[in-house]
Amino acid sequence: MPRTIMMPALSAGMEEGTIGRWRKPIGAVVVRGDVLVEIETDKATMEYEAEDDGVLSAILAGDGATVPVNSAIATLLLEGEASTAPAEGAGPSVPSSSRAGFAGPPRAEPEVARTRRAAASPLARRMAAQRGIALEGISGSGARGRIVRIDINRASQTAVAAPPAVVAPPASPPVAQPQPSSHHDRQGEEVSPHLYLNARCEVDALLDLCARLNEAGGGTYTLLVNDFAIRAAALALREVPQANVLWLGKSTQLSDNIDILLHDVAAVDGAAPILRHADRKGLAALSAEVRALAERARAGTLTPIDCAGGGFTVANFGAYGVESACAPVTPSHGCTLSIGAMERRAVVKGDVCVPATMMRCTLSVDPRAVSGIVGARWLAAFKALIEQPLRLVA
Amino acid sequence: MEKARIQQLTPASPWVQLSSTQDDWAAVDPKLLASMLSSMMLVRSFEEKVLELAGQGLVHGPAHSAIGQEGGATGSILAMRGSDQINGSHRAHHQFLAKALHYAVPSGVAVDGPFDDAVRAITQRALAEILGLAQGFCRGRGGSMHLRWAEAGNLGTNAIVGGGVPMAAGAAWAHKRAGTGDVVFTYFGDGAINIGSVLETMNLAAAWKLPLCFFIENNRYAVSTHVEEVTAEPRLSARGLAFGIPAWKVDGMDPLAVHLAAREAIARMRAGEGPAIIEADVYRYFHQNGPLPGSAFGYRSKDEEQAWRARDPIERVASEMVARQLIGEDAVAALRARTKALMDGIASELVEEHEGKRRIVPALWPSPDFRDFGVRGDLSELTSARMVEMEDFAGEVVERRFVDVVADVMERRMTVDPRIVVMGEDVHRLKGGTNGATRGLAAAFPDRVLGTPIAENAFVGLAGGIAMDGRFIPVVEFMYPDFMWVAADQVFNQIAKARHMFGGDSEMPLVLRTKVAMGTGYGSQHSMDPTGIFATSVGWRIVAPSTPYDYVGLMNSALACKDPVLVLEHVDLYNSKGPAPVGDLDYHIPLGKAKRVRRGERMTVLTYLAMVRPVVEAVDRLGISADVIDLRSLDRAGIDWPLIEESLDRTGNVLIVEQGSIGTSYGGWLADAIQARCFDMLDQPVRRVHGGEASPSISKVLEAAACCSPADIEAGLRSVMADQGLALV
Repeated sequence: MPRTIMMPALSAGMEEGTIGRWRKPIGAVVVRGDVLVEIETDKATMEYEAEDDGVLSAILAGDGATVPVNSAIATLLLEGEASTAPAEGAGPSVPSSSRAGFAGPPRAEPEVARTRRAAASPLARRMAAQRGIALEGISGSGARGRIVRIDINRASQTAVAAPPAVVAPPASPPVAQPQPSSHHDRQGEEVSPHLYLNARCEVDALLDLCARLNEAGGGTYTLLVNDFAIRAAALALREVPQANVLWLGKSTQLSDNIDILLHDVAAVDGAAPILRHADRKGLAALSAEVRALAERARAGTLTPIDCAGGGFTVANFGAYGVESACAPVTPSHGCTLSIGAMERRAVVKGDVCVPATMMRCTLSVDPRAVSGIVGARWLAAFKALIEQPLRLVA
Repeated sequence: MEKARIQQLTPASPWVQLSSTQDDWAAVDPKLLASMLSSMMLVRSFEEKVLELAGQGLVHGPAHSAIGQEGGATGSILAMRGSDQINGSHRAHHQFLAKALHYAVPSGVAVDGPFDDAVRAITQRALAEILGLAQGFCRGRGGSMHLRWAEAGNLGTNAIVGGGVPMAAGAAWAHKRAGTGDVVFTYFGDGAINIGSVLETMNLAAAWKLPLCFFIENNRYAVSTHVEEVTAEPRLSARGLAFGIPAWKVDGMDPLAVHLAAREAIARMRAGEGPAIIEADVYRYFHQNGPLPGSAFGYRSKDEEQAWRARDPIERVASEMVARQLIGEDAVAALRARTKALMDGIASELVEEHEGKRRIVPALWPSPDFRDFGVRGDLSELTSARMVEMEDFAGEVVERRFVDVVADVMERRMTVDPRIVVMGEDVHRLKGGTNGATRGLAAAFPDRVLGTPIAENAFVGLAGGIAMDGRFIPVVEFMYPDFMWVAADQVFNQIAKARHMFGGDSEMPLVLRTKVAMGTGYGSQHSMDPTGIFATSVGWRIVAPSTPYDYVGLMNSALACKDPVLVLEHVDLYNSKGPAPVGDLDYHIPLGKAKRVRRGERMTVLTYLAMVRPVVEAVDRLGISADVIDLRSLDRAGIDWPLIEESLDRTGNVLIVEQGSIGTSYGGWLADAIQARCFDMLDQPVRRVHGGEASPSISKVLEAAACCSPADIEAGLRSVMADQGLALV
């Protein structure tokens, strides 16, 4: 068995040694006591002598190599041994320089096109996260366009609600997300101007249709007048898309989708959910979804995603007997529709005074986002849909 | 008669070779010989055990053995009394043990019979310390090179060559001042004889007649460099002639000769005649460290080693005792066997066999959470101090010149507390030093205001030794802060680290005063603000009073504190006027408490010393709503985080203003600490205002350009406003 020659510990605390110079070449016949190699420590150079007779069969640490104490530096074939067998315990050869380990090919950086995130101060980021405000689209006032506290404060006044994908990515822990009550919180800060448009809608035809549909459904669904109103609002937004806008503080942006914030199903904690794609849902489906959202609101299980976004708000006060209301425009929205209670009233038709069931509707408009004319057009469209309810099932 | 052209001059002090005679050996007390023999044998067996453990890789770090040199340490230490003190260098196991044994067993360790518990405890705690274990004398912190057992007169050994010598002078100063008659031996080797700390201290000790013996163990080699390669006078005791210090040269392989020289030196020192030098020619049998002989490294021959081994000090004493029939050869062998057995027994309690290898018994290591314990004290010494901020001051506050208050509070403290002593260059003259800061003190306390030689390393190190002694409180003045570089070893390696390095309990009540002199035209080497450098040295506390009122309270706290405290002054403040107390110079201001001097909402400005006033003026001039905080305490432990965080949480913006150049500036670490602690409060990066890159020059224009100016402060304030979107018009 070949003899493995190890880096010796030449002094107390020596952890590694450097091969100064091999004094014998590979293949040399050595006799016990021959100087094999010069070994350098931090303070001294020592001549290291062979402890056995034999042939120096392999040098595992070349001149200049620094290796740990007790690691193999050479092998010695003892008399009568073949030269092919690797020395037992010699392990892999030691690189000729301890620095070799650092000399591998540079690791390539993955070439991923990255969009640089908006530069914002830590304070601005923290404030934006707390208030549920997206940084995208905010122009920064700080150095090199950095978004700073003052920019978030300005944005808060109009409260740009973040698209859910930005503010509340699904993977994020819930604590990092804006609280569901954020819409309501923001209303306290709001100082935006308002314009109010009123309309009385006659709903006898709608009530009649509602009753017939519920009868026809045989209990598979129970439609409410509120469901018809939401559907009417959604279809009116199709007709007057300029009323479906996001207010970005300085400019508006048309909403891509008809997503309606449902204020009337607010639960105790004030959370208000969004009915997504309200215009694409039939009455039964819409009704079921509104009911489910309402239950979750009451149970307090709405997530921030359920509450973020939207471009239009419907607030129904009818259940409380309120005749009419003028709810403020939700921050970042253009319009809020307030629906009052249905009442039997004397209505003049032609020259005759007839009884009719009437519902007061008020559209609150932020004129910076939606002009009064657009609001009026929308309200007219809504009224027409309510009063011709078959269009709602078309 | 005309004088001869050449007249022979003679040194003021004697220089002699002292050798023992056969009569001396015949006359010496047998008990002294027995003490020498047992002491040296215990030391040697101890050191052999250390080398054995080092060879097994169990000693982390170097193991500098003194095997062969025992005669110098034991011979001299047995001439001392228990209350005398010593310190040493990196090669000091022999001195430490000899002193500890002599203290614990003053009558001498018996050459026959079992060793008593004290011997066992001392050797065990010393070995444990060298292995870095919790039961060691310094709880494992110091190891082989930092051995301290103050009770036994072991002041602490030192890994900086010559670094312990000024500290030893401080202990000697305290003995002289206290009038105890105790003396101090400071041991060092031939390698240390040419370093400034040693030579400066020789001069200072001679000038002040301190009872300090400079004991040179001349073992010929500084690692591998021979003494004759590095000095033209290799008889190293000759150094005494230059300083008026009497010197003895002795054969260190002859413990009796050493002992006789030490007795003469001690008698002289106890009589108040000042320091002494003893040079003992000795030899270490092994290399600088570890178990190999020096010849293995090729710098000396085996023949030389053999010649010295033939004069082994232990064998010398043993053979003289055998010749006088005081002991038999078998008893000598038995003593040797018992010292080895003692060390084997001790080692077996510290080291165990584990999976075929020897290792430290794991339970004996210090806990890793002991890491920072004792970096500084806990300030409990200030818990009962009367703390009074200016707003709460009951008496009258008037405008006074700053420097007058500096002198007044020190006079008040020196009157009340006789332990306080002031030292520095010219502090005793010129009506209160170069600026009047020590006005009146020398007249009132002539023996407590010490004008020093221009040797900052020696005199600040001496002050460190006084502080560690504990009987007196030194107040050192550096005429200019830049001189800290001259004294860097004592300031940063010794004074700052001593408490922690020696286990966390030894106190260092020292005050260092210095004045920032930017603006005086003293140029590149006199114009730094040292705060940034001192802040890197965690043992130091730093205070920077910006008003006379705060100066009084902070100086009182600094003088009461058991840690070294740098008290910063400023030439711009000296002649300025500010609020000062009337009739009460005894109140304190807490260390670690900043002060808000302006309140506002848009930014927090952190500043100190002479920059406080220009910052406040700029903030007022620009009408900025800013919190301006005078930091007052500047060291890592003294930053008032509650105040800073409260402020930053409101303002979201922070500007650090300092006067000096960026290279040695202070604000960098503070900016790092702020971003680490307060990142989410920040509305922009931590901003800084400081001087230029170069040290200030002599030219008035260039100096002004190099330092932070009011215009720089204004630009910084404006920029912080602009970058939060509130640019000033």
